[in-house]
Amino acid sequence: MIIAKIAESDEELDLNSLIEKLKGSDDRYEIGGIAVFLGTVKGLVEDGGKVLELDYESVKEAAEESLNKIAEEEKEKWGLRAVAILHRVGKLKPGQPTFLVVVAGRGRKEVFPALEEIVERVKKEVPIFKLEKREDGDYWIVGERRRVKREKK
Amino acid sequence: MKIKVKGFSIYSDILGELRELDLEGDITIGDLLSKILPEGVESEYGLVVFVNGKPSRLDYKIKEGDLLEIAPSFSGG
Repeated sequence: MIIAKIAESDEELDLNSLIEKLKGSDDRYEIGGIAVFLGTVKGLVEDGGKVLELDYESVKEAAEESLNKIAEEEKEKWGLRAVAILHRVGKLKPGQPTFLVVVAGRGRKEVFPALEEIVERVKKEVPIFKLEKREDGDYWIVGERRRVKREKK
Repeated sequence: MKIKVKGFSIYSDILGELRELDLEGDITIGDLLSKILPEGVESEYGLVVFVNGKPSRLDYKIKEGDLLEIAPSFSGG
C-alpha cells in the first residue's frame, strides 16, 4: 500500500489512523517493524532567528507525482509492505507537524534506512517551498538551508 | 498567444505570483526566461520549470494557454 499526498494545513496528520490503515493492508501479518518520521516547525533556527510561522506552498500535481514516485521506488528497493508520505502546505506555527513519513516492512534493517532515504529525497526532489516568517523579517528558504531575506513590498 | 506565468518562492517576488503574457511567434521557455528573468538568478537560486503541472525542459516550445510555473531549488520538509 502507498499513500502519498499533499495535505492542507487544516488537515490533521493523524498518525494512529495512518498506521492502522497501513497495517490493514498486511493481511498475512508480514510487517515486523514500522518506522515514523514526523517533521515539525522549529521556533528557533540555526542562525538564532525566532520563527513565527512557516508558509508552505507546492506545485501540487507535480509534488504528489514526485511523492508517489519516491514511495514506489523505496518500497521496491527495501521490499516494504507499505509506505505513507504526507506533507502539509499552508501556514504552520512552531511545534505544528509539517511532514509525516511512515514505512512498514519486515524489520528494522529495512525500515530505518528506507525512512532516512525517503526523508532526504522528499527534501530534494519534491517541489515544495517555504517562506520563514520571523521576528526580524521574512526569509525565503532556497534549497535545504539557504535563507534569502524578502524585501519589504 | 496568451499564456500564464506563475513564480514560486523567491520567483514570486521576481516574476509576480501569476501573470498573463501575450507572446508572438514560436518561443521556447528558455527564450522567454532570458527576457523576463534578471541575469544570474538561475545560478543563484536554481531553476525548475513546470508546464501545466509537469516538469519541463527549457527547449519546450510554448503553446497557447500554457501555464508556466517557475521555481527555485526545493525546500520541503
